[in-house]
Amino acid sequence: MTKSPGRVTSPAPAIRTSSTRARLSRRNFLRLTGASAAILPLMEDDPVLAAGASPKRLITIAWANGVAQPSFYPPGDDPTASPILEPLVPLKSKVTLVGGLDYKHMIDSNHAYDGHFSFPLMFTGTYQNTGGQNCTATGASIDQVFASSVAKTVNLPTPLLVITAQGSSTSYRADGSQNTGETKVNRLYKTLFSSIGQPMAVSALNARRKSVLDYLVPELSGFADRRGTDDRAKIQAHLESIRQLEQSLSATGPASGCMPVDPGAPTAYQDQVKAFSALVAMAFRCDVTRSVSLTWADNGGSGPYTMPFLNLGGTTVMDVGEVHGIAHEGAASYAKKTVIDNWYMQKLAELATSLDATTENGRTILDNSLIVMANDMTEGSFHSVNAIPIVMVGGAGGALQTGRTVKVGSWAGKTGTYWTKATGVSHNKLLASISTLLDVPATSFGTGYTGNLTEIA
Amino acid sequence: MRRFISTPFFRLAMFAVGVASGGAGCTGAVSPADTGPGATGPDAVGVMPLRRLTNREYNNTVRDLLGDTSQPANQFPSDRDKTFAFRRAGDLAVQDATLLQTAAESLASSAKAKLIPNGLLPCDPSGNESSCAQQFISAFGQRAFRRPLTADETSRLNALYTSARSTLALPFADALTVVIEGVLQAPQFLYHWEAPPAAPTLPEGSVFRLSNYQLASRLSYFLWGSMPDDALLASAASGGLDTPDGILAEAKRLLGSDKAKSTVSQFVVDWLELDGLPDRTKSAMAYPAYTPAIQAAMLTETRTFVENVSFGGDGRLATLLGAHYSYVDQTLASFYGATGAGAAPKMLDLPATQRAGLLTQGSFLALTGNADGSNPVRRGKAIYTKLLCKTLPNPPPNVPVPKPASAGGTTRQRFVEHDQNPCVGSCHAAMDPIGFAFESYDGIGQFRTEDNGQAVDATGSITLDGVSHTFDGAVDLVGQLAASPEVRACVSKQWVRFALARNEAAADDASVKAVAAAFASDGATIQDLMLAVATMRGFRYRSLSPGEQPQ
Repeated sequence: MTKSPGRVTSPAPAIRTSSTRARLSRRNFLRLTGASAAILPLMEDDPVLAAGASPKRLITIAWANGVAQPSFYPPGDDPTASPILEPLVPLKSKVTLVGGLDYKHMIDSNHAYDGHFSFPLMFTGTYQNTGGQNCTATGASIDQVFASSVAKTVNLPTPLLVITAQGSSTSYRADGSQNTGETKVNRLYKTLFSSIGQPMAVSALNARRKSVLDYLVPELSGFADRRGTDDRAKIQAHLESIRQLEQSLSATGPASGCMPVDPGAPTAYQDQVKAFSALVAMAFRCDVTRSVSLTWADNGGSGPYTMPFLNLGGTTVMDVGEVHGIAHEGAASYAKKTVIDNWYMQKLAELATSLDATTENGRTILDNSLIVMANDMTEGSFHSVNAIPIVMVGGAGGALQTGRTVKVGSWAGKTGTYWTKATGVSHNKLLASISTLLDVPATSFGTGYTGNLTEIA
Repeated sequence: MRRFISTPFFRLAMFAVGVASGGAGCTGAVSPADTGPGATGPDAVGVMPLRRLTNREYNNTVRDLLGDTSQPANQFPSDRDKTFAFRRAGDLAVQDATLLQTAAESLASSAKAKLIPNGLLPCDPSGNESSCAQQFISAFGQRAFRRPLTADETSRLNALYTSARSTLALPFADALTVVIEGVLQAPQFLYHWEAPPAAPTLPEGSVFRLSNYQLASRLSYFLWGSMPDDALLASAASGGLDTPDGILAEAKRLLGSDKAKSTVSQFVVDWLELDGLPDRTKSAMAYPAYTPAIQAAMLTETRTFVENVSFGGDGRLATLLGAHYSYVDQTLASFYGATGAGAAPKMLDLPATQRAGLLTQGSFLALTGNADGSNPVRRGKAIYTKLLCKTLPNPPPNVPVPKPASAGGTTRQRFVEHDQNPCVGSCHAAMDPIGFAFESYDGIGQFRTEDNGQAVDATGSITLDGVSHTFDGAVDLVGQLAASPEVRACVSKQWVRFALARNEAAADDASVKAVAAAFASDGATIQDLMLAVATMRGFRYRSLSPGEQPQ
């Protein structure tokens, strides 16, 4: 059941050499300077990334329930000139709005209205219906492809960071199995940064873990013997996870100058979203990961969720801010839906701004990164998967021309209310272009719908 | 002004397809793994896909294996599978492996204090450390893997111990905790694994009887949600499970333990999806009385009720669905208008015209209610899919929602208008007339006689056993449900799914029918039903899965 992740044509060029990676470890830095962690200044300009290194990073973000299209798409070229996208105005020159892309796989297999089920397709470009509306991916998502590419040149502690603030992850491996997301802020903080300042403990723990993992690998391999095809695939996925744990034992530690801040254990949804973003920014600054998959909202009706903190008002079911219900009301509740999606753009702006606050080699981390945020459907009352709302922030290390609205398919060249109808282009092409922007050159991504989105890369 | 459908339809539709077993008019939901090799005769049985311990099974197993009640699996991702009615852990990704590693390390660390003679150690290490380590590995390994270790398994665990003791230079007990960490992350511990015997033993060529140790595991995980105890392992070793009578005797013994109680209540919680209740936000404006304490008390009530009816009570479906009493604490007393409640749930009579069994309890009604009102669609759909085992087609796109209460009229009047929309009529004709039975309960399950200023109309109709029945109110409806052979057959089928952690395949037909027959009479109890599942052919045999090689 191995599936092609999408004909990625060549391994990534070395985006960071071992010599640029060589640096003072945090503990050596502390030892040499005699400083305690508490008095280390927050170094905005990463001292260890100064030697010409500016690694690219990727963040995918999934959100859901479509958008009020008239409030989302700007009339002209300014990618932030709409009520929903307005929070991105300060970052205007770094934003790229892509309009007119479809989840073609679903449209062409008679699932054009299954927007609540599009997460497996969103960043993999693959789709396999498994009965009714259920479906799965059959290949790797772009975050996984990028992480695997980076892993060929540098062994980061967390090659791929998957976070689900809510719902299920959009991250998939090459065999189509889903990467489980982290759901707890405090646990993630510990995972990412607990090794800082405890070299002896870490080294003893790692030695112990290595013994156990060394035991598990042959145990799992033997376990797969003679099993049926489906069961073997499950064990293979398990084994792959164990191998990654082994790999992480020899990973480089967090970058020196890395000053993580404990986010505590927030429980409210809005606080968790914010804390997760702060951890992603820290993880980039500390160079413990370069590829992140974030799910901010569940892909549909499976779990009702509310946003009472937005104070949407009303006396019906909506007075608790039940997002899916509001989306279902379509145009009647566009005003409320606009407030909801404006909030999501605030969260995107906050994340991007925090990446923009750290410079490395003359550019900000945001400039070296690409954030791709996509919705599971077009609009919440129809559930259709044509004209998917997609916002990108960051320049992919200068590879992407930003500060514009890219309209493709039947939207190309249109202005005004161009979004009322669309004959779109497969989003697979965008994924291929993103892969290329991130130095994993690809002429296609996922299955079918070959080619790049030439407007992007 | 256009209005569009609200949450419940789509939420429930997702579950509906999972319950399908290839019903007409549906695109089908049986995954290849759920499909047997095609045989459908009386000897046929389905395949058993490899499955991991569920979170509940993990917690219970480490409790019984190590005496550890820290419930580490509560930190694992949810094992609710959207495509299946019951629990089934997903593929093991890096995050899962990390959490299992963390849990194993924490459990092993806690177990260290018990690594003493008469604790977890079968020997005194002061004599011969190495020999004692081997004895521990053999004894602990057998309990953890639910069968004696093979020679290779033993030698690999011995090597792990040696590496910890010598290479890592850990003290004796610490070295054994490394072994425990390994065992707790080993596939033999984490998966239900049923290796085929040397050769298939039946003419079909792909069906084989489980070994006695495999049967012991199936029995204990089905009836206890946990590992076999020493007596069950001993019975497996001595041939006690060789015959259906032997299996029945062990199953009865297991049902006599308190550990079986939570299995029955867990079945009901999963079956009716009551675990989703905490996610059901209610409008504070509409229901100021609906506090987190009430919500928690509702779940406790249902669990207590189910456990007491099934163990100690008469155990009949008619009682589960029709009792005019429940187990109510003082938090819930005013909710039901009951008197005499205390701090702990206590059996109390409820108004007989208002409450009858599970489906009129606050947990089910609040779960299936809206944030600010009743919801006949969701309630009707729950009955249709969970008690009748029927499947609805996928919802069409762009379905208008019923009008809100502010538009005037009762909930029923507004939903009836909604159902006349031709694009939704066919589905709702199946669900809503059933759901109208529950119009006497508001969005959190409080009894009412008026809705939006008008008298409630809780009459409706339901097709049971091919015949249309009318009813007036939920108490009337649940009486008819309890008396229906179709409902009894569906409940028995849900137990088969729960026990096998998969949907039934065509090959399981004979087993499904045997269990239904055992539960057909009104006097049959839930325990009778569980025993029938534990002794059905599909529980004792399985088919080779595609690509699987016998030893």
